[in-house]
Amino acid sequence: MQNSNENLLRVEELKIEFSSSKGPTRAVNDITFNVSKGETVCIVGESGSGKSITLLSIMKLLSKNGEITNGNIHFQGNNMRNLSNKQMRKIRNQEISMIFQDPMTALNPVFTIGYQITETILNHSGLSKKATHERVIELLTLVGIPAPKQRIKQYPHELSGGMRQRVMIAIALSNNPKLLIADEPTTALDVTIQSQILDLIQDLKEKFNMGVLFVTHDMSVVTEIADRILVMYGGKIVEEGTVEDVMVNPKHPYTEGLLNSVPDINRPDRPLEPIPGSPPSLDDDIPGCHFHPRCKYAMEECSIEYPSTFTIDSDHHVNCWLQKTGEWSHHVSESEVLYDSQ
Amino acid sequence: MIANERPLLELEGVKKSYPIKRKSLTFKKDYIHAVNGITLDIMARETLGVVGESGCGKSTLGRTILQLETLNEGSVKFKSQDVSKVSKAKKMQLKRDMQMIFQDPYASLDPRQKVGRALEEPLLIHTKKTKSERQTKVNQLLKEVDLTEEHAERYPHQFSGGQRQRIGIARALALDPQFIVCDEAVSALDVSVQAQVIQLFQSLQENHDLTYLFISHDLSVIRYISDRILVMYLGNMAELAPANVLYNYPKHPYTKTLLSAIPSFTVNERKERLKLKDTDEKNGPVTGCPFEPRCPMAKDHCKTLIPEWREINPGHFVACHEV
Repeated sequence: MQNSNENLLRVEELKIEFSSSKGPTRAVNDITFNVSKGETVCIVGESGSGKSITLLSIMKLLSKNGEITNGNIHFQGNNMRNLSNKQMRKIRNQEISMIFQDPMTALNPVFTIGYQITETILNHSGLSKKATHERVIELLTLVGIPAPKQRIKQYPHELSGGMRQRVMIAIALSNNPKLLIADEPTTALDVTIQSQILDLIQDLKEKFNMGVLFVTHDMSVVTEIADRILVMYGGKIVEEGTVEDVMVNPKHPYTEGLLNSVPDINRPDRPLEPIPGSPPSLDDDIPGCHFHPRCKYAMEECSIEYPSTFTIDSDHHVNCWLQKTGEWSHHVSESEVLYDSQ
Repeated sequence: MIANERPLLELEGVKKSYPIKRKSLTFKKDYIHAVNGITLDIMARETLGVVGESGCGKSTLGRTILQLETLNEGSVKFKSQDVSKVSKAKKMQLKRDMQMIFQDPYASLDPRQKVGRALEEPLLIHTKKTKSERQTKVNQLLKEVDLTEEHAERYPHQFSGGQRQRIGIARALALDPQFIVCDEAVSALDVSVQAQVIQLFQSLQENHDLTYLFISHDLSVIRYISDRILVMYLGNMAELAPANVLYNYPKHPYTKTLLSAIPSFTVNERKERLKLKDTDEKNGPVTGCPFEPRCPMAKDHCKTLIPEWREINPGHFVACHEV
């Protein structure tokens, strides 16, 4: 995974600040990661962890008061920070596509869905009208919308939530992007629809060898689709590794806390162990490790200095002082459960 | 649950429908049947979970029980009293006994009202407590949901999402209710905070002998918190069983589909999922099983015969011809 030829997206030492009346607040603080071709990378975190902001900054869609103060974003070897708005418009949708959480607000209510898909294709590809029309029908069939010929004449309000999200995915895929960015695409959907959308994204990823960068707060969704996981807390990546590393053998107390906070459908009797307190807001200035006020293992040095990165094995990294001594290991120890279910 | 105990709530053929826009000039009105004949008992001190997709009528059911919606047919009895046929004075008492907690605590709190005042309000309306008594009660409520006395002087925007939900819970508890409808009460919260609030619900149930109707679309949360679970499909009852029975031995094809759709904590394994048929019919067929248009197991007679609500094992009810 470290092979640079396969690197689709590389985010380096990215820092993002928002200016407000109270002065600048740092939403994303020094994060570095890669996404390779055909790989699904999941960013997990709670509200305010900076996960959505990271996605928006890749697409250059930050609001006016947000600014990248440090770091670079490389896409296929090109530095995206130097691109003009015009160049960026070309990259959006043709190279990188994004799916948002709420398909109702992302679709325009006064145009038919056929028109909205056609629009993106015409803008970016230069196909003829007839060819575009065929492409639209092909796309809708691809994402599993029944009777596409009738559907293209419908407006967003005539479709169910799952159907709308599929239309969004069809738009996102219309120009065969190399990277698909998804910001909580299934959070607003029912489980039955959620499973269909997740399966669809997986299928399409394999078919087109896309890179997928997927943001969610749902640990079970992560387990299902991720190849690699980044756990974010307070604007920083606190743990990074393959899905087996992070889910079965978490090394950061926050990751462990997240896993212990979710009821496990296969083990209803396991008591929940919530993390005390609530996620920090962006204005909170926490010295040392951002997680230490909520951490049950917190030591003296945790409140003084931000922990350096410890490498567990080649792909598994964690920022936590507990690794310095190497004595602590997680107490989830549900590895057997993770594998034996059903 | 003791067998000879009278249920706290008895629902008998509860129906609620809303008129929808007429398409033609004929005088026939069309209705959406949001809740279409629910019959069940809720025992004291139990948690009854209600699951189903959006639009299946689970929230309407909760609101109908609390008289926030007037029901079209059937009856709801609370402690053997028909709630729609009681005197005005009795109605006030019923409102004290049955409370609701909503999904979005920010929308259910007045942004210009201090939290202490919001908690005091039900006491002003429903009790004759003096100012100092009310004050003590407010402080006690805050304490119960793990907040402090100082929080009473703050406004809703000064709280985090989890704290706001705690305030919503405290307000529901203000009049010492016996029955609480929790409508997606933990769905909007962050994962780590969600677990805290679930635990709070559990400890409050023990301390106050509460009965919950817990509505959620999150199947893992429902399993964790519920004693019994009702699966609803388009306003109808599909299956009702104790939590463990339902998850281990689901009988209705819809329940099976729902359960197979849950993402599991199993690394790198794609579950075989049951697929529902896509359909445009929102309100189900008029004759026959409401689930028939989407059912993978549907047979010919499902189109014409409405399945009976049968008890296939003690406490395990299902409405399906094929079971």
